[in-house]
This record gives sequence, structure tokens and C-alpha cells, in this order.
Amino acid sequence: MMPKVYVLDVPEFRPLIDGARSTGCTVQGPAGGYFTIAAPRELVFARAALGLKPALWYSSLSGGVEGRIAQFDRDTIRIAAW
Amino acid sequence: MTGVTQPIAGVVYPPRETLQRYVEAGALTDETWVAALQRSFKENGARIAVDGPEGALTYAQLDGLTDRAGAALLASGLRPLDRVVFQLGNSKELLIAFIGCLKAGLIPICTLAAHREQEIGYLARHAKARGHLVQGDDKFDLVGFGQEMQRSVPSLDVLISARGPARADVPRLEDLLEQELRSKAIARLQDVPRDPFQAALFQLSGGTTGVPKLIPRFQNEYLHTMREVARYLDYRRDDVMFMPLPMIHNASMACAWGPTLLQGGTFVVVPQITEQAIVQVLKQCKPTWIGAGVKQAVLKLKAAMDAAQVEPGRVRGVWTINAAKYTREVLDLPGCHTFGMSEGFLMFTRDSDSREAREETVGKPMSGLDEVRLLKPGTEMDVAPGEIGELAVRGPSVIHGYFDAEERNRQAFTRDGFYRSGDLMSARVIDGAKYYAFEGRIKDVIDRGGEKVNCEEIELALGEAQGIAEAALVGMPDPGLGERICAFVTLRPGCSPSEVGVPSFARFLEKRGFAKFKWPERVEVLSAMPTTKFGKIDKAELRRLASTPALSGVHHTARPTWKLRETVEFYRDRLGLKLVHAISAKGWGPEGHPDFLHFFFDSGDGSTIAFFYYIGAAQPEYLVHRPQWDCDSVHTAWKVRSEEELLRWKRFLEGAGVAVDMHIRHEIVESIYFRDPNGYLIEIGRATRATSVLDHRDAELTLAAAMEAETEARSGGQTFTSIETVWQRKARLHEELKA
Repeated sequence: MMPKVYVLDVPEFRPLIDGARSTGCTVQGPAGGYFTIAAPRELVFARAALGLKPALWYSSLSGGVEGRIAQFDRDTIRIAAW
Repeated sequence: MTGVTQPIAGVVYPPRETLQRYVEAGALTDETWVAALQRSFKENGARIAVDGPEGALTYAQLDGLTDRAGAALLASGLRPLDRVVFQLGNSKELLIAFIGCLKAGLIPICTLAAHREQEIGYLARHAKARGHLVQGDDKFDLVGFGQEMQRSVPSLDVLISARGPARADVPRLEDLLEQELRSKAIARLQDVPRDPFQAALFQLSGGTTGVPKLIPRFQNEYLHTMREVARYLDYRRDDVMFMPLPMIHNASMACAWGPTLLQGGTFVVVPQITEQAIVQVLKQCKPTWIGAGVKQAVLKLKAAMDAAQVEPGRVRGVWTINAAKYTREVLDLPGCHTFGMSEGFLMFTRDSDSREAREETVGKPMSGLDEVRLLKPGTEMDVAPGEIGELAVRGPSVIHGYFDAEERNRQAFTRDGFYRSGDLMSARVIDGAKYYAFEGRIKDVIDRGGEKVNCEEIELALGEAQGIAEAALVGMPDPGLGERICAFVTLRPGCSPSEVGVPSFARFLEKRGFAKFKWPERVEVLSAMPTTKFGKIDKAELRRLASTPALSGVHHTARPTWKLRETVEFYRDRLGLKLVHAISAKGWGPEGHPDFLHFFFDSGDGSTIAFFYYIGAAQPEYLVHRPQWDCDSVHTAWKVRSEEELLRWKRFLEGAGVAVDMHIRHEIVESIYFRDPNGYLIEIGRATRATSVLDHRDAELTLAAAMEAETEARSGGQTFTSIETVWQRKARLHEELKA
């Protein structure tokens, strides 16, 4: 199954959506208040590229995750398929 | 002859064939209400008609006074069929003036002393009223108000006061009665035309639209109603009725004083209802029927009956709206439920009904001539047996139309002439008869202690108040009044919630001239109105919000300190928060509780930050504050209104030598952090945006996922050590919701 994250449709998480679009991920929605971001094998977010401050960065997956968090540190998030 | 001889424009008279049917059935006769009253006055001459704290009147006395009142009203320039606005509270004078009007062929408009220019101005103009009777000893200057109304409503020629001091230019009822000779009065009244099919009075509707509506009630049908009530409830000549409701209401008129005075019974008039007055009435007037209304009134009545040592067995019945079971349990007396509408329909429970009927329903119609249907709301289809539907009625006393209100009249009736009440009922068969239970309302009305408040009327007005975008009224449950008024509002851009509240609305509605009982008693500001799927304001949701108790912010947070001087000097002198309150106490009751100080600093908008200083008590190790995440989770977060204000605080703190440790933009709040001399963390934040229903739903999902994980871990399943568990569960919940 493809890794997927849910992102609540609120302004502070919008950089995740914009970033995902620019890196070629599949972005759908918003539906029922959430965007979804998916990629074929692995989802990768880079904090520097998104311009997210740490407080938001550390809760950027709070909408929900389908997959396994392979890496989550100050600069990179990687979500792998189950 | 069947039918009115001299119709009044705007009054909707029932069609002749309908009247004929009720005449043939014996419900409508050639006797007028006023003639029936006069007959009773003659037959019961020496009996007591009216009793109470202000003295008694016999039927003969009441007859004489009302003859003179009727003649005096005609002498003042009023003519039969003229409309007269009433603003008299419960009193003998109200009864004398009212029956005087009936004898003079004048048509009372049943307004209240509490009404103001909005209601009186509109109704007087609408009904082209010529007379205005006001209470001279009301707290509010009704006489001055009457003079003002005369200036703004050209038809109002005659203003008369009662119960007050003499005032220049405004005649007093008492003086007019003095001047009138009984013999001349009788002669004068003999010429007044009597038509049993003519309007006798205009009652007020609870209403469903922006303006109040008038309900013409007719001489013979009103008489029929009263005779039916007396027959159905077995009112007797020796009954004494104590029903402390407004006497101008249809409920009192049609069910209490009206039938009582036709039967030769005694009606108790109490101008000021106090607990003391109730005890006095119970002792001196010895009522056989008592009106109590809601549950709380039954409790008060219990206390009064105990105080008055009411003779057991004397009271035959207690009227309530819905508290018969309670009446039996608390008072050990039969309770009688009533349901009625000024539009002319009544139901009662009575002694001979089974306990189930008496305690769980509002009764059944008094006679077979009243036809009842329960309709699927918005349709003319009957609901299935047992289902809830809108009560629609037709009968000898049910109106055929509001006064001069064509548009409303088109909506208020079914095609076959049933009046749609806007009340919801269910029917159930008990002992072979169909009884009805009240199930709520679909009309948008609040019942505040028997006064019906039409929501739309006030919502439209509040929509024009400063800063208000939209207003919606709902009733909130109240033990004493049944319901009180709660207003929900949304604000225009630039208007602060602090500018809006109960006092500002009271000032606004008073200025607009609305009766005080219509003013909201609670005001809640919403960022958006909840709406139904059709985009209309969701009043059911607002009622739910109004029925739960509300908080309005923080009064104080409190923590202990072992550094008194440093704490006071930090908050008061360095931060500049005003020290507003200090408690100093010799212990606190429990053994070993140290003496202490408890002091409060103002943190804006009515909130405070408070500390305890326990004298002579050593600081326990576990209360030593360590500057790390577990201790810092306990912190105070103050609110500022803008980003500029937040930055001002940051500069101010740094200037005062207080280190600002962090400046963080969270999801919905941007905050700065610093520490006080105790090491306690203080946050100052400003909301970056309001939360919406999206945030609320998201929060519910997050916590639902986390609680599941906790439950599973507790029961020995999967461990709960990472937020990943929550996020993964949440994704699963999304999928389940979609499915």
C-alpha cells in the first residue's frame, strides 16, 4: 500500500501541501476537511524546503499516517509503506 | 339571526354555515358573554365575587361599579365597538374597567402593563384603538407613557388611569366612577347594541412572525368556552379560585375568572404576588382551586400551605402546566394539567381521568365539537397513531383568522380550515379515549413564565443593534419560569465581543420600546451560527448550547509561593499587574491547616492570577519547581488581542530585565514565555485564528485515536509508547468514516 498522510485544511499546514505538489507527490482534496498526500514507495518531507518552524514540524503528521515512520528528526521525515 | 350584524373591518368572522352548525349543536346561542355576566351578577347579588388583600366585592357591588364604569367610558367619548388598549396589572380596577368595557360594547385589547411603545404603538395603530387604560401606580410611569402614545398614535383620543394619584389632564377611573350615577348609567348602557356574534375582545397571539397578532374572540363563543370549562372541571358556586396569573391573559379569563363569575364563585385578586401574600390568601380567602404553573411554583405553594395551615381536603385541585405528578407527590392534591391557546382551544385533565392520563398528558378536548388533527409538519397529512405531529384544531371557539393579517392567515390554516397551532403533540389512547401529550413547538416562540416571546420580533430588532451581524433567540430551561431567553449573536467585523452583552441589549431594546420580558437574559457571541443542511440557523443546536451551563473565561489560577516579597514585587511592580484582592486567614478549619495569605493580581478581562503563601509551612520537595517539561506543563497562559500587543510585551519584559526564553508560533496561538521568581512558567499568547468546526472534528479524532491506544495498552495489548500509534489509528478512523 502507498504511504499516505492526512493534512488538515488549515493555513498553518499549507506548506506541506505546497511542498508535496512541487515534489511530485499525489495531492488530493480537501475532502471532509483533509488533504491527502501520497507517493508510490516513500514519502519524504524536508523541513528546510517547506520552511516550517520546529513547533509545527513536529506535529506535521497529526492529521493521520498510513504507513511506517522510517525517519523523523529535525530536518527530515520519511514515511515508508507498511 | 345567525351571524354578525355590523361587521368590523379586519375581523375575520366565521362563515354563516359554520356558525349555523354550532348553533344547531347548541354551542353558540343568542346570549352574549356580557348578558350572561349581568344575569349572574343579579342572581348572586350578595355573594362574594372578588376577594383578596385589597378587600372584597359582592356581585351586586361589582355590577354597580361596572355599570358606572361602562357609562363613564361612553361619557368620555368612546363609542360601542371602539377598541381600548389595556395596560392594567392584576387588580379589582382591571376587572371593573374590563367588564365596564364589555357593558359599554367597547372591545378591550389584551395588552400588558409591561408593554412599551414598540408593542402598544404598533397594536394601537393596527387596531385603530381609541381608548387607552393605564395603571397609575406602576413602577414605570404608564400615565406619562400614555400621553406620549397619544402624541404618536392619532387615533388614541381617550386616556384614563386607574390606581394612581390624580394627575392633571388625565382622568382617573376612580373619579369617573364617583361622578357617575348608577341610575343614569343603566339607562345609558341600555342603548348599547348587543350582538352575540360580535367580537368581545382582542387577545394577543404568541405569534410566529415579526409583529404581534390580534385574535378576535366573540361574545357567544367565548361564553361557550367558559361554560364548557365550568362544566368540564365541575366548578361550583362555592368555589374560591386563586390563580395568580395575569388576569388579562386568555388562560385566566377563559379558565378562571370568566367561568367563576358566571357560576357565582369567588375569584381572588392579588396585585402583588409575594410569598407573604400567598400565605395571607390561603389563610383568609381559603381557595378551593389554586394555580401553580411549573414545578418550582408547586414547591413554593407547599411552603405557603404549610405556613397557612390549610385545612386538609379544602383544596379541590391545583392547575399546573406539567406538574400533576409532582403535585400529588409533594402536596397530595389532584393536579390538573391545562393546555390552551388564545386562538381558542383548550384541553384539561380532570379528576375522573386515570392517573396515567392526569400525569402524562395535557388531557383531551372538552367536547366532541372540537376537532383535532396531528399533522406531519409542513404538510396536511395526518401522522400515524402515536407519532408526533403539529396540533391543528377546528371548533366553535377556534379563530378563523387574525385581525387584519391576510398573509399570516393564508399560512395559519389548513385548506379545510383547521388552525395550525405550531405546537407538537402526540396522541395516545387511555381507557378508550384519545389524550394528547405536549411534545414541543415548531413555532419559534419562547414561553417565559406564560408570556410568549416571539423570537423573530426580537431577532430582527437586534440585527439592527451596533456591531451585530446576526441574532438568534432560543429558550433555555429555567426551573422558575419554564424558559428564559438566550440570544446567540455573530458580530460585524471590527466589533469586539466585550461590547456586546445583556446590559447593552437591554439598553438597546428599552430604547426601541420593547417590553422588558422580551429582553435576552443571556448573550453568547459565536464566530458563526450553526446551520442546518438547508442553510437555516440550527435552533436545535442553539437550544442544546443554551441548555448546558456556560463558562466565560478564567476567574483565577492559583499556585503556592514561598517567596512572598519577590512574587509581589514581580507581578505588581515589574509586570505592573494591579493587586486587586488579598485574603488573610487564621487557618482554614481543618486541623493543622496553616495560617495563610491568598492574593490576586488582575490579568485583564476579569481574570486574575493568584498565589497562596502558607505562613510557617516549609516547602515540600515535590513542590520545588524544576524548569523542565513535566513541571512546566503547569503554567499560566495569558491572552493579548494582537500581534502588536504581544511584541509590546516582549519589548516591555526585556526592558524590565525579564528574560523572554522563547517566542513560538504554534498552530493557533503565537506565544512568548518567561519565568517568575518561583520558577513558574508564564506564557503570553495571541490567537492567530479562531478555531472552526474542522479543528473541532480533528481534535475529536485525535483524542479518539489516542484513547483507543490507551485502552488497549491498559488491557495488556499493544504498548503505547509513540505518537505514531495515534497517527496511524487516526488514518484508520478516516478510512472508517469514509466507508
